[in-house]
Amino acid sequence: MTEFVVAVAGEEHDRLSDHLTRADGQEDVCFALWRPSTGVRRTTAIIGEAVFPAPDERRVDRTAWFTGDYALRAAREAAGAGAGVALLHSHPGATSWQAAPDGSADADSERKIANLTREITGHPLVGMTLSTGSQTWSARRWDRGQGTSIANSEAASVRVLSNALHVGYHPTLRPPPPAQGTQLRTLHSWGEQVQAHLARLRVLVVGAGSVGQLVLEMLARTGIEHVGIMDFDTVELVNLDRLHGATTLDARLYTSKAELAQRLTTGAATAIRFATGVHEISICEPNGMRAGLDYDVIFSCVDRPWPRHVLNTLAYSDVVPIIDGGIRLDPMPGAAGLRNAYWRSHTAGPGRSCIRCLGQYDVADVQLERDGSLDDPSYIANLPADSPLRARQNVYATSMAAASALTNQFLSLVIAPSGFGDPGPLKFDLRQHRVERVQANCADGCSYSGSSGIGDRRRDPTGHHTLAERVIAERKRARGRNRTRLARAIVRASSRLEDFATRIADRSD
Amino acid sequence: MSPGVQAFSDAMTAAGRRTELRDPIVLVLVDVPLGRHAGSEVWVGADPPSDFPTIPPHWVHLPDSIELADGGKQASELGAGWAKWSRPHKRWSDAGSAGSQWLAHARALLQAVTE
Repeated sequence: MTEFVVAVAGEEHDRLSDHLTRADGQEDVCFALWRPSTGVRRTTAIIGEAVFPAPDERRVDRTAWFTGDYALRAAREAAGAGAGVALLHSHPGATSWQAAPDGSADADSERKIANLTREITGHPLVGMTLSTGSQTWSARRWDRGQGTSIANSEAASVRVLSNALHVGYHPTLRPPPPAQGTQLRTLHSWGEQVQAHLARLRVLVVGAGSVGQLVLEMLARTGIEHVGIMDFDTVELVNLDRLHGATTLDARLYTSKAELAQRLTTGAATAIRFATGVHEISICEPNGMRAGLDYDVIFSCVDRPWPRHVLNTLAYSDVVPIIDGGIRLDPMPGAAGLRNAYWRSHTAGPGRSCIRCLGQYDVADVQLERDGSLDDPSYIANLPADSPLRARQNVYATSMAAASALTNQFLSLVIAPSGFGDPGPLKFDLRQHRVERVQANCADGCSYSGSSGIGDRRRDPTGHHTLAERVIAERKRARGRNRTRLARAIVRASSRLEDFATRIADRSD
Repeated sequence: MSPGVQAFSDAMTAAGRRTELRDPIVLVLVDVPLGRHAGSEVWVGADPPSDFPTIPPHWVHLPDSIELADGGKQASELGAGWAKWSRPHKRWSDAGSAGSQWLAHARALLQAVTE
């Protein structure tokens, strides 16, 4: 069954909250437009433009009432924009998830217009409740049955991406994690409430290379319950100087980087309900991008222009915070030492500078990657010596530093220490051991930040990924050799034995 | 026709240029104000991606009578009489008109032709 969630950009949340959180403590009501963002396992309703009531369109007398004409106006505006209608109201002082069971006043109020708005817009009505005490939302979608028997499905979560990421979780669809001894020190550090928020996020790491593997280790040990791993590549001997946890055997047995990450995160996980989503695909492929839309936060641990373009697109069109970074090593001429090293970290999404405007890739290079030029040795050989597309330098130590910088962005975004959310773009300079705030705004007319909240109406950034297909086909072929098959079977058996030993040890406690 | 090809054709038409579709390549009749070809009009081809104008085209397809400096030449999908050149637009911006930017890029390449 497809999961349903809601996403709201901070600016829209502030506008709606200003209207719904009344100084006189009464509840209020309004409409907004929403647009679909479709993943593989879930659909997100992205809340967009508010449709506020005219003075004669709603009445507030402890509870809030709206006229049929107001609902009709909202539905017509939504239809004109190719969007759906969301009906939003507030529960003053509430701090938890607000359900709208059959027979409740909230459900009755939404049911009255659910058929009308669906017929006019072609999209189901989304009902939302703002708990004004915590400023978190609850939501449901009127998508089952029709006529008088129309019924709703509860959302699993509602995320608001402002300076921090605030999420309202459905108490049974996304229940809080059970407390456990393996996380005692973590719980002492920030408490059960923060842990319950962190643990329930669906977090995807795109690129399980030198930085991505370290980020994955952090997520698993921190207690995140559902971690996604996306990488189509294979572990090679040349990766071993910087790929956390990889062994010579992995390279000899054509272990994929996603498979390696799954093994390591499963071993490191402290969450009881730990699950991994393994995606041996590129985010640049249509199915890769759709898989990415199943997550609440995405780490961009890639260095190529096309995946960055795709992730930068999703940050705005689908209101998914993208935590991105990069490493630049500056060796002395003739490899005679290291002049300096830099690493950067930033979070992209509505209200923030986009990854392109931060200078992390050149849009002109995206098409070079798509048409295979960047994987053509003769093409690369003809590039200028200082072209960033030729850069092959990387070391484990700076990967650790970059992973740490990304982790800090994540913690600030999700935990917001003392109310401070993500710090904005940062640049670290190794030679001077200096952290610099990067002052950057999106260029006027930036097509990324200008596409905020449009969901599935985004310009399709995906395409046929020849390199991914080739790498996966080569891996499959290589694994088909008799010796490799036998060796992989022995490793699998050894892994099963280890699981068995763990179960025996658990029983002996 | 992809949305990018459509958007590129529309941008060229809006800039007053004649176009011809050889899907997925769009041929544009470009006027050359300076250089060896000054005063002439040359058909120039582009293969706009589906997300144009966010992403600019990479290759520039030219009649094979025209030689650009600094290499990057390959056979064109347009067939005999054509060649394509790797000339990514490195200063592509959302601030200006996409059509004007690409035309300026094409004109700059043609103006620089010396042979």
